[in-house]
Amino acid sequence: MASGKMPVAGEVAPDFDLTDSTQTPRRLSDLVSRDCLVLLFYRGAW
Amino acid sequence: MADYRDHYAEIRPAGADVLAVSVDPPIKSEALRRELRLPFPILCDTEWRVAKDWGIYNPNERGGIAKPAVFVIDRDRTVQYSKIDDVATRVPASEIVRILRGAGRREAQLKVYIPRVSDFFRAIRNMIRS
Repeated sequence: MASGKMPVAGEVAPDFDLTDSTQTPRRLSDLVSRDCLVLLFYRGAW
Repeated sequence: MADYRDHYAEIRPAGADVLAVSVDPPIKSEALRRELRLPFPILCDTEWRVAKDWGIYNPNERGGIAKPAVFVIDRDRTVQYSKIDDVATRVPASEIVRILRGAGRREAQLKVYIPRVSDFFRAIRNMIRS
């Protein structure tokens, strides 16, 4: 997949489906149930 | 992550929720979530799908990871704030709380730093001392 451009203020971020750490499928658009959502991308220990 | 855990009690009343994403497999993410007692979920971007789509994929480190970054998005997934960290620095959770509360959001958009009165007095104090 070609790499996208990082969304900046005012742009709509791409939606996505991923499983969480308990193997539960999650969709970003379903998780933004409150006014705002803070997304933390971290390096991970891999 | 622990910083955001510690500020979770301020983030929630500011109308926001928190979500963490990494390329770690679920078993590793769950271990971290338990170890740090994180009150928010960790999503597992094991195939770098989201990191690539969001333009924060770094192929040069440890076989491919997501660059550390913080985004604040609203209900329509419109980005209110985004910050990528190419160095090891992190956006402190306290700054995100400030942004969520609105005052900081306007500041960030205007990219204007408005000193607080306390900063002014501190500067004077430092001048007198030196």
